[in-house]
Amino acid sequence: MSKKLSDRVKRIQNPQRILKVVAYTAIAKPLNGSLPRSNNSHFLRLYPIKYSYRNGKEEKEAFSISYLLKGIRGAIRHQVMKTCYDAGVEVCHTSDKATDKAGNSLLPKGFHLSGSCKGNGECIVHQVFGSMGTEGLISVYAEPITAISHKSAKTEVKVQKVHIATENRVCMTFDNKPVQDFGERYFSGEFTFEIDVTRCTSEQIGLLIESVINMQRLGRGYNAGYGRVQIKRFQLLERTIKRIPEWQEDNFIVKEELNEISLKNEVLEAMEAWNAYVYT
Amino acid sequence: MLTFILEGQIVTPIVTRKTEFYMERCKAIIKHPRRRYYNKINASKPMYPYSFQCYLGAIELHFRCSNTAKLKQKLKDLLQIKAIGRFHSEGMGLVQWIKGNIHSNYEPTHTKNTRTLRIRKGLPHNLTKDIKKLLWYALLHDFVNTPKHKSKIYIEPNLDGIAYLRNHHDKTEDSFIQLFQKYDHLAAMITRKIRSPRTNRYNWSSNSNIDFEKLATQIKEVASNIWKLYDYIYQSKELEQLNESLQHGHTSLRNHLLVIVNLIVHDFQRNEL
Repeated sequence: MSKKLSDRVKRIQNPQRILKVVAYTAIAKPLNGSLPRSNNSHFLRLYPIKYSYRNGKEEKEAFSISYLLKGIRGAIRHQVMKTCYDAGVEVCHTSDKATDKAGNSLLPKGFHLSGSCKGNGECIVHQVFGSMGTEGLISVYAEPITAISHKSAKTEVKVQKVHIATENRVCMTFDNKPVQDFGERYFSGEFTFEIDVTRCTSEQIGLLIESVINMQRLGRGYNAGYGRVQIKRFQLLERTIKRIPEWQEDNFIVKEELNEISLKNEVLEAMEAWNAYVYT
Repeated sequence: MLTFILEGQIVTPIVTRKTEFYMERCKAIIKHPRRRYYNKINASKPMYPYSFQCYLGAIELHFRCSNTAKLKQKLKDLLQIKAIGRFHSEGMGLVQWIKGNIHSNYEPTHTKNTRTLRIRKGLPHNLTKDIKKLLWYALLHDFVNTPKHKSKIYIEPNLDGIAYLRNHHDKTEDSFIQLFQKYDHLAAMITRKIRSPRTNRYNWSSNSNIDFEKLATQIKEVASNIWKLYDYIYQSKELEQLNESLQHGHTSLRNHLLVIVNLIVHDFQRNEL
């Protein structure tokens, strides 16, 4: 039975533990799919964002479309699997199918089928990421990305400024004009993402840190040279969020207070806990 | 009875099929909805990607209660909500609460009840001559070769007066064809929902091959009487396996023809034709 929408509500847990990671990519394509009547693949499009910038002495306003950065959780999961494989720990594979229609094995060595370890002897990947019908412990979020070239640009909403463009991949031409263009959108630049590790134990946080440091791939086209990621820095934070209604007679405005503390010692403890988990 | 309204902005799309739903004993309404499709690919399995409908826009939560203390406690609880719907672990369904208010006599604005179209089992008897002609053309218009497309059953049945329909896609000043085009476009708009191109006339739900010559002769036999023609199309399993448009492989020719006829009959019975 699938859950109702009313059961799928996530609340703030104070204090939160956030693993904040800053990464850089030269070119990456975490795309959502093609739009109707188009062969081009696009990002998941969000709102057009209003921003103001200075043109000499003038203040000008413009709009820029924001996009969602997809596929970070999947990329982390694949890296976690690789980390566990290197450490000799047998964990869940992403698939719950053993063979395809022709009878070829889909399950590589060193892994078991997704969700088969439920109950006794649950593996660490299943604990963190869950499987079909089992909720995972972490959630991943990145601020929407947008292409604003003005250095003096100011936005009311939190966004990440990167370079976004389309790569033309013309498949067929007639009279020097493209007939089929399977173009793909890409972005490049520095970006930040956050992993909510509030419910994780220290060994699980250690595994995530170990994996995030060595993270290499994001999005499609890795074999063609796209989607290589360099991790620049990371931080473990303790974050408390307070949402308070400010009443004015029968109306109120919601105000949000945010406090962050860096957890240096917990990072080392988590790494040690992961090493201890591997050697026992 | 007091009503408390909490307003917010959807940051990342909420995965839901409807823009109005119930959650946490509140009625949630997505205002100014912008539909998006969230695609998921599982690279480890040989399978087609999943697609989920989701919405962006402003969100309102309505909660009704008689006690103000309970109302304020509920507000505290609701303000803790961070994400709604599926895939919140992937950053979907994030919500930012902005403001709210309390109404003592709040009357929700009901949406207008739109007329529902019911597909009739048979045509009514009290039809005028003009309507009979219009219905006859509506039932047969897709079996005719036109400059835009060939007959949708590949073979055109030889019938008197059918040549008039060959130009039903053209821009003309003929009021009869203009009236027919209005209903044709309306029915196409209703039935075409998912775009899925096909290279032949069989739709995605078809299981068997169709004898098109037999189908054309059977249509020709019943074409003289519109009641029999309607009944034949209503019960036809062959026409259900054919698509109305090559770009929309989930539609069926039977449904398209029945929707046009029922729209015409519906308007005729209300004197709105």
